[in-house]
Amino acid sequence: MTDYILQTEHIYKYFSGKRGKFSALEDINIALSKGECLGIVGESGSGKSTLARIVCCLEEPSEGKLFLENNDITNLTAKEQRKIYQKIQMVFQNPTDSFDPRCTLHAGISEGLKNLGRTQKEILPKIEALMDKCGLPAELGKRYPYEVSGGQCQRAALVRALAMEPEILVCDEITSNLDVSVQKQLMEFLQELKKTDKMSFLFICHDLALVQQFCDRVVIMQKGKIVEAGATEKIISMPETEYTKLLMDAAF
Amino acid sequence: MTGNIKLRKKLILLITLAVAIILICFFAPKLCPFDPYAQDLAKAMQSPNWHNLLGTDRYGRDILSRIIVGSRASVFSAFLLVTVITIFGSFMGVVCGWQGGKTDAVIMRISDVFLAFPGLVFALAVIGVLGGGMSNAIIALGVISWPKYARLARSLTLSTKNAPYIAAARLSGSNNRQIIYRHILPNISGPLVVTGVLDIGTMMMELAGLSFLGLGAQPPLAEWGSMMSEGRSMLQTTPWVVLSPGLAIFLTVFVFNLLGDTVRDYLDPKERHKISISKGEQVICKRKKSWRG
Repeated sequence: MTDYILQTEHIYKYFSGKRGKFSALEDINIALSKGECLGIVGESGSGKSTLARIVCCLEEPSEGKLFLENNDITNLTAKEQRKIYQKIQMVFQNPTDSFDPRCTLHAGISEGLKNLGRTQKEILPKIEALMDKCGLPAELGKRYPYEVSGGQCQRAALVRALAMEPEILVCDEITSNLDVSVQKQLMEFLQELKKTDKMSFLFICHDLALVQQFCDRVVIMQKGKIVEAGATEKIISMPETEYTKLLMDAAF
Repeated sequence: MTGNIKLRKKLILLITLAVAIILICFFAPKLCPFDPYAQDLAKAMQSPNWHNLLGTDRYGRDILSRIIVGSRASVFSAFLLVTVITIFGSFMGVVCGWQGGKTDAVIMRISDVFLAFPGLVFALAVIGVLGGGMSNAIIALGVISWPKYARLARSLTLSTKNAPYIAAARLSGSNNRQIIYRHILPNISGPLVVTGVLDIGTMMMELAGLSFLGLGAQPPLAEWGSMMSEGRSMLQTTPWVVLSPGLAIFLTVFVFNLLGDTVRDYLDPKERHKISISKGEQVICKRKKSWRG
């Protein structure tokens, strides 16, 4: 087995609904190397977010296996899962909903560090430094999620994920709710993280232009299946499938 | 200026009134101007006067004293009952909503059995088995009322547990207990507390109702419902015997219902942090709305 930091093997996910069993993911095989950024592109309902949740152990796959640093993490106990979260973190699509409306941003951000047994004295400077790095003033931590803008909230969510010092960051359409200027700022920050911290990214997005800027490789998904995968430049310059061509036409 | 000052003032006023009612329950024997159980037939059926502020009943007992002492049986019992069923019902509901599966199915089917009967009829049946008396009436009402809280807590837990912030909490390494205490309970407590506070009034009425039927408080125990029951035959000749405890029930239920509504508004963080605006500004806002409309 090669030294991928994250790998999925024949992942299937079924949901049972009123109209019977329906398949959200079919035979998904992806692999992420250390320091690499893998883009996952596809239309709404193509299974991108389900894949992200499975990769973060928030949902169990119906079939298939998931490996983190060559260790099988498919069916872990709750206690083992909590250890995984020091290595893999996720930033959600809707920033305001990803913070508890009854807790301040600071309480939300520091929750992970508190669970790791860090004291307030250790937590406070660390969070302030990270917030500063993300362009957030420290006093914003005292506010509630609905008292800050979407962009500020998304950056706070990024701070929350980074506070755990993960090796892999799963970004689930993190720019879709942001305006263009904030989007640019956030992407520049992610670029910097990629370069300096050698962090690996699973970047889920439906904007091919962003993927081209940020990702080394890209996987195109449609109706729960991978239709095309390869180096970003190759896929963008020479798309093979009709669906990818369609996405390209829409983006550029 | 942060927060909705008007709402806070209203809440403080209502809490003060509710606490005053509960304090009256606590210190009832010391606050009574007369012995509420002392009979004096020479003074029977006196209309309200300076000596007996709310008059006397057919045994010459002072009605004001009986209302003050009766608050223990009426309000305090209802308060205790609601506290117990809110905690128990919510606990069951959160367990069902969070665990799901067989635990959920079993507990919910049990609660369905209780919900399938009309409330007071089931309470009458329970009293029929256990016998009359205040404590049995409380047990009967508790048995029929907890499923409402379990259902509410379950549905609130189900809608909250799939929220992205719960997934985020899990990613932060919180275990089930921490997630329930830090995120689920604070987020579902609003409607549960409101239902509980509103139910204090309802439970008081139901306890009074059972006592009115002679199944709750037994004579000579002073209780507002049974006091009304005793005096109902004399409504036309001596109305104060019925109206005084009736007014006590009305005012107490009114205070607790209003408190429930205000607590609900206050627990909603968006409402709480809304900055109260002056009347002049409100008029301008209304005008602007009407221009747009």
